[in-house]
Amino acid sequence: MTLGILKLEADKAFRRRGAWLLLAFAAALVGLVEYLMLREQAPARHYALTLLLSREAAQSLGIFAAAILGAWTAQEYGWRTLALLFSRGTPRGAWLLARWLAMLGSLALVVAMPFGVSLTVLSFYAGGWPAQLQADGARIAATVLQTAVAGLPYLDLALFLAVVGRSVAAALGGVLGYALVLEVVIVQFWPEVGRYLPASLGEAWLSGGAGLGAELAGVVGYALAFVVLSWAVLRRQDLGG
Amino acid sequence: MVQAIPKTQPTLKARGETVLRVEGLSKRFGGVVAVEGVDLEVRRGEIFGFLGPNGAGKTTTLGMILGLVEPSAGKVELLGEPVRPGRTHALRKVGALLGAPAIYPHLSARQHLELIAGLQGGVSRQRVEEVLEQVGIARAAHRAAGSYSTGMKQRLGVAMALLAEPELLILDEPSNGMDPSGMKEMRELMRSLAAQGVTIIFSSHILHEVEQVCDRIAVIHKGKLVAQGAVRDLLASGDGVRVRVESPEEAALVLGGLAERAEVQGEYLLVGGLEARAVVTRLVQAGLPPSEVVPIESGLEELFLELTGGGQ
Repeated sequence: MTLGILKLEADKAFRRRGAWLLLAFAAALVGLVEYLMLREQAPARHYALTLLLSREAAQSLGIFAAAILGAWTAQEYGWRTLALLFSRGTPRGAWLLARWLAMLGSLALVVAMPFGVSLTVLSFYAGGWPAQLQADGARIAATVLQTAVAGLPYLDLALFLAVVGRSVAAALGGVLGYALVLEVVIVQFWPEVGRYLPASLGEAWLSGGAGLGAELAGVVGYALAFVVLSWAVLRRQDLGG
Repeated sequence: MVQAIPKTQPTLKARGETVLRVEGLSKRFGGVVAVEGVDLEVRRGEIFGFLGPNGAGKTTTLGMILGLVEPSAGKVELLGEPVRPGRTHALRKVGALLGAPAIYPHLSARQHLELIAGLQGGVSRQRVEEVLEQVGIARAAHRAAGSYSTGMKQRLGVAMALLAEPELLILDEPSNGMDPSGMKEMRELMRSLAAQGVTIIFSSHILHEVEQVCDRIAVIHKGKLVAQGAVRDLLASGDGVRVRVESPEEAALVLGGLAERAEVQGEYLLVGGLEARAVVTRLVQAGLPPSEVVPIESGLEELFLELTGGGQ
């Protein structure tokens, strides 16, 4: 049953044409920005700029992806399809884990995409893959992983809002409202509080290398807290209506 | 067209054993009591009708049976296993259609069944095609379910419930949105499944339909169970005789000790629980010969309206 639900959630996440079209659109956008940016810059700066743009794009797209993935989860309530699964004896915990893994896989894909697209655009400019890439491959892979981990609190916030609010608007609006407005305002006006929020912790962790410091603990702590809260709500949630 | 396709392996379980036992089931939403102290017993192989007006607590009760709603009190035992939200192994042997069918609008009917097959395991591709034929949506099986009519969505919901060859089938208003021939096909399908040993709990507003297919029924009203039993027994309890006498009040006193009920309605007396011949004999003996005697056979609709105060 657990393997069945994992496959089902993976199918739902990765066999949806609309999601791939959205990813293709984002990829085209990233490619265009990269192309225009490199056109204006000296070739010596291309590689560093490409990595910078990739990271910035991955972070921003990660937030949007988290919101969309939350909305996707909330849709299950609107369609009453959770009742369809649970009335067949699917353990709620197994579903939550499967859904979280599907969301995580989707987020990882979205975060990795700008690196892939930008480096591909760069290879067109340079007439081949840049030489630094061979030495930097592991570091770039680590950056992709770090960016995905830094996005986890938002992903799990989206999951929590979807489970609690049971509404697409709550999940979408909640994540975007928090990440793009509330968190920015707090970091700007109350920096002593803001430094403990996911954005600052993630940024500090990403800037400080791949260490296992307090910042990482903070990021993982937020992520874990939202997952635990989601489970606490879901396990006794009435889904019969 | 809904067709009955015989199961390859008929159930070996004993008919008549208890499949579902519900004891003192209650559900409160804040201060609102949705279901209060409901007891039910459903036996293997029977078609059990679960009736009640809108908002009576039917769907909430079925939700608790399926582990979707946590009871405030009471317990549910399904195929010998207690049901609780979160995990109930016995639910894997249950097929359910609760309220409007839950569908992914962008998936086709075939994809829905493949999805359920993947989730439950042990369901062949052939079985998917068989069920699509059985519920009459094979020709539209490739189309996105979001484009289906209400009746077709309902058929898809029934198909998903049937797919894993359940021991217990819970169908909440399965004929919703179906045309008369679809309703008839649904009744035939239920009869055929019951004949193969599948237990069916069936809720419907179409009382004629319930009367035709159900062995036993339970009626819920304002969250409380007001009747439960074999359809013929419950209907017999509503049968009676209407007599016209000069003094119905006096006649009521005469029959009061013999009949289950004797109710004066204008110049008529309605007598329940006593045969027409006995009513006439007793009235003649008492010097109150009736001028008109009409046997009344109550249908499920009359019984339902009586039990639920007009269905309100």
